[in-house]
Amino acid sequence: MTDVVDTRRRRALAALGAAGLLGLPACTSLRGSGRPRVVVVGGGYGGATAARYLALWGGEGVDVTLVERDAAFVSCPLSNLVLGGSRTMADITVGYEGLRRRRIRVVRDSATGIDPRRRRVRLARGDELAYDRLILSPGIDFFFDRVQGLETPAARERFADAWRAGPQTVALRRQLEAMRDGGVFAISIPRAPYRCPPAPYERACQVAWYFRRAKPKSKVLILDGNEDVQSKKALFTRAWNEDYRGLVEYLPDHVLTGVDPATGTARFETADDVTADVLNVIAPHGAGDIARSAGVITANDQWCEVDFATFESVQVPGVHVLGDAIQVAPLMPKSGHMANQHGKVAAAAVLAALDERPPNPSPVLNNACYSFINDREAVHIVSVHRYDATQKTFLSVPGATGLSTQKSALEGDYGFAWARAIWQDMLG
Amino acid sequence: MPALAAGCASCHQPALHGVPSLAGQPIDALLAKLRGFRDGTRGGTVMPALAKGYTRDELEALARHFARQRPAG
Repeated sequence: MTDVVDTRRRRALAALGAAGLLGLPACTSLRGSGRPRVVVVGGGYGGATAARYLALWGGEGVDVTLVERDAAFVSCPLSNLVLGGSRTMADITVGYEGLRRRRIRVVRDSATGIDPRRRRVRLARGDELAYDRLILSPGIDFFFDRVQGLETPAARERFADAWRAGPQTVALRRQLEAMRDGGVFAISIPRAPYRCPPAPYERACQVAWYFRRAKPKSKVLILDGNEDVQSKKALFTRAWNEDYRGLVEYLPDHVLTGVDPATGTARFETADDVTADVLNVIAPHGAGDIARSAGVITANDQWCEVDFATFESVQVPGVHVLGDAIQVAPLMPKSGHMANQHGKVAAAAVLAALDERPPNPSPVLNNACYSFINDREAVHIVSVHRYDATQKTFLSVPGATGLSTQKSALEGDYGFAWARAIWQDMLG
Repeated sequence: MPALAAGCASCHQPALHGVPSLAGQPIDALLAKLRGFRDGTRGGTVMPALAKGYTRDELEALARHFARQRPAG
């Protein structure tokens, strides 16, 4: 806090001095002219939202840079419908022009290192970005070494996770299209907590929807590393037993230990081997690698603990962490919607810190998550989470959790509308 | 936009109508809906649960905010 103010003052003084010397107005002689600099790493649900709300709430008073390695945002929510074939990649892709129009500097590059002491982000192409506050929304990276046989890039392509929407979504769709009728698609789910609890079950529904139309003799196997369905259990179980009867089989307690790229066989801690024509391995994962470089991965060598009032790392001052990368509060899902909500609380807290104001004492988060059972019908789960100053965490509000009673086309329409709205909220 | 209302903006965008836009709605109608969701007298899909996560004062502040928001698009 004091550091930031001192830095700002020093920079403002330096700007004045330089301007005086050169006889130029400060605002044109030096880029930034002493405005506090916030760098956001990662342009997904968390990071893009944080950048947009920093600009929205901070206006001219803050210099916002977003570092993102991809040219456009590709949504994980709805990407299972691309696997099912009812939506295309174009349907789930949104550019960063909206953020650029808001005078956010969008730098297309990978952050390769963070130096929290010097407050610098290193970029792959070599240069560095200085910041007063850093927001990391790094998403996830996989622990490929925890599944024997996944070490090589060829194996990872063979067992495409498609758990970060993009080229792997396309690759997995191609595998499904190329599969023979009568083949087996199997999805391996890691132990919780993992990114987006209901998504593997939605994926099973979407692939089953595709098979029923295009390859009716085929099967979907759900190999769950957990002892039971992790989200919307009754709704998914009903879909598998009724809508996709005979097509989907759910197998709990299947903790994956290894895969064989030559045969497509999966091995487990206790269960028997399973061989599949298309094996979709969602390997165990944790906070994105860049978080490691910043020194903010503090929980179980996997997730980042934050001060929930501000989303600032409990370990490294000046670095805030959002989204799937954090060690979640009780009953807080790792979802895109939740990351978007984190982004707003963090943006407000960063602006408060830069202005030497206390953060909002009672932030409230909500979550809404739609899962598609087929190409047009969906189910939802929602919840509200309030910050508890005594326990210093978010607590799920009793009575404010909701779940669909059954799938419906109305909820499908709302699901698609939710996506359009939240993309606007992040990137518009 | 106040922080609390920003929470609603994930779904409710002034220029989009798939999820009902709240911008510029009469405050009385808006508040009646929100209170109905909270009290359980009004049905819906996600809002009956979500509204229960906010206090009556918060719902009033939200209704006031969205009633003042300019409709777009």
